[in-house]
Amino acid sequence: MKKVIEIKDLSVSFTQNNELVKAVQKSNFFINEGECFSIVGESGSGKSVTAMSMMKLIKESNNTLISGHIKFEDENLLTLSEKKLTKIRGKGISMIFQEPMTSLNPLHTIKKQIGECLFNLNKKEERIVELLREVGIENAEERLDHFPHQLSGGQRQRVMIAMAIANNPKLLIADEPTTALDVTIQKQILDLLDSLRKKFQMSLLLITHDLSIVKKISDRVCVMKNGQIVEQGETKSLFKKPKHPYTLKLINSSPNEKKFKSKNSMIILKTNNLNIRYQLNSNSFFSRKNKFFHAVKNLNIQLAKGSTLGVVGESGSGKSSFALAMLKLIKSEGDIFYKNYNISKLNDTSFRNFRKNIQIIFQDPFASLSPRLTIERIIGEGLEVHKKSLKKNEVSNLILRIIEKVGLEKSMLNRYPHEFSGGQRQRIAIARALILEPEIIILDEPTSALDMTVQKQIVDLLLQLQKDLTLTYIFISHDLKIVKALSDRIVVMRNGEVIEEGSVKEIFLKPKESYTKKLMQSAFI
Amino acid sequence: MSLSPLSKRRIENFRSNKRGFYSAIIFVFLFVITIFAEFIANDKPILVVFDNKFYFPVIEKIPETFFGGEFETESDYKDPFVQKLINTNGFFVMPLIEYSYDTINYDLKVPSPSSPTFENLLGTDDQGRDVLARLIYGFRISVFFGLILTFLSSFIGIVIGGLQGFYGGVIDLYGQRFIEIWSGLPVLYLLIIISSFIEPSFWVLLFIMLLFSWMSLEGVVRAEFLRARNFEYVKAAKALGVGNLKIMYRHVLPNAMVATLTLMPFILSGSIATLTSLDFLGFGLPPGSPSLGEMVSQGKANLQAPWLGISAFITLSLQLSLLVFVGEAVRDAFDPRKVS
Repeated sequence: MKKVIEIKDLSVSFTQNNELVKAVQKSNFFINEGECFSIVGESGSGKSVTAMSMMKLIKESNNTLISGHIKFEDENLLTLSEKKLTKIRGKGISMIFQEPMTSLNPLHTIKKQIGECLFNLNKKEERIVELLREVGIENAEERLDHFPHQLSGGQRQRVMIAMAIANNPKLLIADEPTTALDVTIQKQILDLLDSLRKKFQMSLLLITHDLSIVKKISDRVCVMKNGQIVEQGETKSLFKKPKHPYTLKLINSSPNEKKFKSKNSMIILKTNNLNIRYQLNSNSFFSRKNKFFHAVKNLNIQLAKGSTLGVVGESGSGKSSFALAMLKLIKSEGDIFYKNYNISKLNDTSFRNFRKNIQIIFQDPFASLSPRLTIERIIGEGLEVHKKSLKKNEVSNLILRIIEKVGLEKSMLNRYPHEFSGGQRQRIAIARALILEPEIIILDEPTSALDMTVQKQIVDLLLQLQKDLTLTYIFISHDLKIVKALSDRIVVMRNGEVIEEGSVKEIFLKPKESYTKKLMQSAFI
Repeated sequence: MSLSPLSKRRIENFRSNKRGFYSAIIFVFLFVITIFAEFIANDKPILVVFDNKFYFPVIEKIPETFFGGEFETESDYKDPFVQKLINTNGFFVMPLIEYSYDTINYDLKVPSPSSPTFENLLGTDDQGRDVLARLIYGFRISVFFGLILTFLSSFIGIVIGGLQGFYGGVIDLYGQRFIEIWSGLPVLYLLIIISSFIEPSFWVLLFIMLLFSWMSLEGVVRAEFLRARNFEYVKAAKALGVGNLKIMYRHVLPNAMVATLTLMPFILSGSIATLTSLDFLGFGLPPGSPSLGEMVSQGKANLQAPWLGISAFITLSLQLSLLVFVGEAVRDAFDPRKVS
């Protein structure tokens, strides 16, 4: 088989704050014609930098050093002039980015954006329609004059793909093409990429952290860690017999499942016809015609002490609104019972006493910790409100105990959030919630911003804590594997409604609704 | 005193901005000197020793009769007769510059404005008053004016902007409409009209300008609060049950501080410049007060006496540049991208 591109001894390093960061170190790999090659690794492993330097989107400068060979069509891309490079970009090699929300220009129509990649063509419009059909956009003619904001995330990614394949490139680089998308759409996009590859005889370089994707569509794979390729080979054999311990760790990073069951059957949290509506903009200043967006409709759930309720659904299904309503951070209608108290009727001040019982952990550990407070103050903040009588040394003792419990060291207390990794920050967020000894913790996608191996650690920690402290979790996620690992019961939500509810076994093994089935299929490829 | 590591890093950052750091030193030096202007430029002695007793005419009034003179009014220490009286029974020490801002030098050899001499280092103005003394007092008054105005308008701006941004909704809506109308009022004309009713003193001017200057910060603070109230750590604090005021102070305000500090030096130099221009136009501080603006207008009226215009210009530009440099350094010190 012919090689499309061959990378030899590629090294990229940056100087940051007077420190040399070796982003890529002496990488060697090649991609055959028509094959799908994947680069797998966690964040910071250098996979995106590799891809960027293949398009030469990273340039050599005072603080950037690039060395090695990138051989594409008998030419070394690294030494090629900018003029020649523009001919290769888009035509020879093209690229799809992770975030479809930002990779399209919001000020131009679809037609204009795709048209930009087409040169010297008389029947431009017809070609654009053809491309849009190719990537599976319905009513392609009507879509031409649409702006990016009128398309969904999946559709935008399709438009990006249409732009990328517009000039029949030999190599398509897809940098985490599905990470920002919902599970069901992820599957569609992957299928699309795979079929396009076969149809146009392209090579596909897939960059991802998700091993299940790799397993499904790639022919060969290489694993990167800290800028180095630790292992590469045929996908099948690599998954069967991983040689490097890191590969093994990655493959085994799917979380352990919950083994214990709580015997307590006391209902601790219950909702009765919970409705959440957002008021949409009333158009006129004088007349108030209220339009509403119904985020959650008639939600009824029950939660036993010590159990976990998994809430599953795609973005926009109302999961997060539900979480915020439980904490009364947004307005809701209907009743919420905590034990025997109807907390939905309480005002802010009287609800404050209940706050210590229900806590939340947010999705993004980078956003949920105030960057200007030390870890000690962040963790101790809740105590100031709920346990004012505590003395100073009692507070610090409590903080020390909690920080040990979540697996951090006490030397970290005087530091600031930016000094910690994502996983450590999420532990800090857990400690902040735990210190109030809550009974219920709402976990709003607590692992989706983390790397696979870290996800596993956090899930293990959550399970351990639940066991030790008989915590009750509401676990909100779109990642079904983790939901399966943590939950006792599962609620499937779509467009604000619960479409199916049941125990983990029922939902995963015998889903009744077709939507649930689709969800399960796309999650476990 | 123990400082948090963050404050330490901020001080370090402030120091590392050399220009700002040295500007701060120079400015503080000048400011401290001018605070004690009465002991540096005055027509009264710092110390009088009379009958083996110490007297401080700068802070106490001593009638001429006390020294054996004829008038019961306060002694005129520039009068050779009074000087002779004191010297017979003791001695006195004059300050470095023997003129206060309103002392008229009657001994000028040439008609005023007179050019620089060893007696009047920067010459005299058109009424025969020492320019250097007036600059020292003028510097003090404008810095005080600027600092007080900046502090008060920042405080009001932060409070109003914070409340608007944090609570949003109706409060924000009506607040914004009010500000739109309020900011449409012509400040300069208002000042001109008011100054024809009452004599605009330091505090009256300050109050009128305060009525309008708080708005420059309000917008930025409101925007920062609007942005920050949706941050997850603000939500997390709410979920912990922390009170609204505490959340605003602890979690949201620090976000707005950088923007506030970025604007502050400009408000400070802006209010000094406004005071100066009002004085220049004659609508500012009451006549006779030492003010840089009045000095500039004298320079304009007496082009044949360049020492007036040049000294006023140098003082003003030095003052404003120093403040902006210090402001830049403070801003750098609070910049989270540089601190972290």
